Amino acid sequence: MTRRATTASAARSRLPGMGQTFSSGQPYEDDAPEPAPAPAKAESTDALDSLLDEIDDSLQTNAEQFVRSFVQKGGQ
Amino acid sequence: MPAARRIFGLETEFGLHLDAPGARSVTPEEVAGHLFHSVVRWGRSSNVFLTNASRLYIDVGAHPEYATAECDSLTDLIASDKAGERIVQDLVAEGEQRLRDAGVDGTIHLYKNNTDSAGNSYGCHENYLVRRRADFRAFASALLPFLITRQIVTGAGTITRTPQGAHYSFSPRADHMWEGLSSATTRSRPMINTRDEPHANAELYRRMHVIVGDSTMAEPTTLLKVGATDLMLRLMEAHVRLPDLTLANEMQAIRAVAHDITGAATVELADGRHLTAVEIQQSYLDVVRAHVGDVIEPTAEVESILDLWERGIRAVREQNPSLVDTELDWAIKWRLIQRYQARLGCRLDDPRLARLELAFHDVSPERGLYHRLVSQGLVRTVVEDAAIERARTVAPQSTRAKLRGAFVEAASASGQDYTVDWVHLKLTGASKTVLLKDPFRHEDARVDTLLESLSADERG
Repeated sequence: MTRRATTASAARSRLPGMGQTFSSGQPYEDDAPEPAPAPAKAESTDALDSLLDEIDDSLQTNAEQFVRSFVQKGGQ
Repeated sequence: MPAARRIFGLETEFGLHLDAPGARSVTPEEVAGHLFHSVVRWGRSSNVFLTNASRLYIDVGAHPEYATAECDSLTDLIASDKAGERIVQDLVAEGEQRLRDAGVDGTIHLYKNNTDSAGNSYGCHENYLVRRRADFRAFASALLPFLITRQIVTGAGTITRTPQGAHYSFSPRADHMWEGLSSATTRSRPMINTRDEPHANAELYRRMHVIVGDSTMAEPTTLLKVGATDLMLRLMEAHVRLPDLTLANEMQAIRAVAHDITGAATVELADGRHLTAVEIQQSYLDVVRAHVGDVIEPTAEVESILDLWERGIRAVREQNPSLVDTELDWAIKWRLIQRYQARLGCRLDDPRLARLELAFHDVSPERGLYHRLVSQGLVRTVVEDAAIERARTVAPQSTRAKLRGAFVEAASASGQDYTVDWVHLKLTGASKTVLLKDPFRHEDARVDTLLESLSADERG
């Protein structure tokens, strides 16, 4: 498994930054009253629903064809 | 109390999927070739060691594979593993461009999962360096009941489709296991591969090569998967007497556990008892906990592993996945799938849910779901994002990986040809090969000399 390598660092220098943030899709207003601390579960429920809202279209588009086209030989 | 130091490594085979409706048919090999074009340009090979000391290559079946450098801490391991997802993802844009140039307009998806849509399987291999001992087979066999049942906490979860309908199972990998121990991997997949390649001084060490596990997305799942296995090995190495939970039929047991999300199914033990996976995992957790403070040094990390292990078992016993549904893959996915299914009002075998499942494992920050879940606080992380970013280019600093990483970096910068593998460093044409047999050593005078000669060449 020895392999040669040469110059430059193409494989790593092109790697773009990560840690992007995604809009939650949850509008809020500055002048709204301070919300009472809601149970954590309710908050994450809202976040999950808005996430599903965001991705719903892309998941529905040709879902069957998309899934079926993922076939690859087995590995180890 | 002995200082516990162990070398860990994770190898991940990624699913490679070209979605190009209407395009001519393209083989996975061709897609992999385009994907790895920049790797080959950099390393003159599709099988390279990177500056972060990890290995990147195309494995059997055209699966891109990333093997982390040797790590001696779980946080380094998770950072290196997550860095691997980013490294392979960063090959996608150029791969897609090259395919467009070849007349194929589509998107490339890389999945950190274990099965394709036709049911072919590929793996995530865990490596634990253990002291060599004469009774290795017995030693490894003793771990099997633990490995067979740990899927109720560390399984990736999956929708299983059968002629009788679909159900949710703990592990996509379980159905692809055919043996307990063996030296084969693709012909007959064992749970522990006994191939004796320690990549270290073979008189002292052996590698425990566990190939039964699922690839895991959530960092806490990886922490528990590797962390709990390490704690089990520590007890076994210290000759702690474990409860004898030898199973009567391992292949039957791993399937029975996988397909019973209620946790109520029992498996038969060699002594005739019938226990649930919950009971077996609880027995192991209890014995591990009992040895914190003697065999196991109490640390915050050990406590967090035990806490998650405990809650993961409870989640199944009490049928309350919300105890772990931001931490353990099977529960995170199950929640996503159930919520989406309720919105769609569809059956569990609906292709849109299969599509959702693939999106969960897609390593792309844009197309994949994992990164979105993290940024929404729906999945907990273990390591800082900055540590993952750093691990893309910088090797772990407390093991042999540091030496390899420094060598690859310096040799690449100098423009000289070189060869490198897990234990060897060599400049092409040089008379000497540096052999690094101790994976725990991160300093070596021979490597220093080699690095000095490289930087002198560069200055000269």
